[in-house]
Amino acid sequence: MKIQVNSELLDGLVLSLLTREDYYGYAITQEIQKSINISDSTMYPVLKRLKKNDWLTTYDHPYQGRNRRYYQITPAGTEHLQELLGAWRKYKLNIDAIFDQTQIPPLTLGGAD
Amino acid sequence: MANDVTEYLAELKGLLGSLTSQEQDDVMEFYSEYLQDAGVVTRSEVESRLGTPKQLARKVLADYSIKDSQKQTKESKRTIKDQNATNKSNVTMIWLVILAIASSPVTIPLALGVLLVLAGAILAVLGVLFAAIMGVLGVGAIALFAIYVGIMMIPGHLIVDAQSSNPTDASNIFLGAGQFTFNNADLNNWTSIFGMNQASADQFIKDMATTPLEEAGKTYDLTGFQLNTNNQRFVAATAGLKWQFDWGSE
Repeated sequence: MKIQVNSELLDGLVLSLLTREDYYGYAITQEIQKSINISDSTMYPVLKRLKKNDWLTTYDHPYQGRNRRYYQITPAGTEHLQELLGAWRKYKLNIDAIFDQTQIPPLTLGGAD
Repeated sequence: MANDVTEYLAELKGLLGSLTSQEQDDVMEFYSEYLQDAGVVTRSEVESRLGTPKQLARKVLADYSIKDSQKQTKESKRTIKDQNATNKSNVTMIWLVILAIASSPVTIPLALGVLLVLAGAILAVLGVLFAAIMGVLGVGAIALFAIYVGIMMIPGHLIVDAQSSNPTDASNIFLGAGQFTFNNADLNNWTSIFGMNQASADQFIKDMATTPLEEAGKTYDLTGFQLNTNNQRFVAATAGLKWQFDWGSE
């Protein structure tokens, strides 16, 4: 079974990745593909949308006689990422609220009190 | 760049005719860099990653068609503005009629009569509006006061904050991070340890039971757990959520 990732989640994943360091296009796809199954043609529209909203900027850096375009998160991008993170965590909790009540005996470890 | 790749990109560009040359260049630059970084050289390697030029072009253009539909929405808003302009011209027309009546010497007394009636009507409308506003403000003030009084009568209140992951308040008892299993017996123990009165204890147990996190028998990974019996504040946090219960208002 495959769970579909919507465009806002993709925005969040890319922005989150860019908080670690600046990446170039191919590396972004590679990193995201480590976790979720996206096609190679997915990333261009995502990066274009993020740039159009000023959530990231780009700069070119020479590499082996050509240019690589690097993507860098902006302060507005960080702010947007925080909104997405909050929404995602709430969503995840709500989903887990149901999944966690699946009738399989829960593993209970010692309490902190 | 490999011949196959150059050819592929040329075909792709030919299919992006509906975009501006700036937008086309942007797509070309992105995929030319992308394919070089991916280290693919043959046609079949390119197509196994990006699909045929036609498939890729469709994907690029699909994104632009979303923009087009947004433009259309803006255009329909413009139509509403045009209607507003028409309404304004109707108002202008009424004034022209009034002026026409006033400018005729025979109908001056009639015009005065019309103007006075209009003035009276406007004053009446303003009066009703003023009364309505004052009424709303009065009710609003009473409601706010009632809400304030109501809040003060609540024994304590639980704040669930999905943004925070760490309790930052200073505390005189810190139990640290750890795993935690909730059950009603625990909650009853806690309220007595916390030194809550009965109303706050009832409220605390009720609030905890209605939050999405409280599940009997479920084990939580707490990143922080703090209890401040001086400030009468309880804070517990997981990676995605913070509970805070204050019972200092009792």
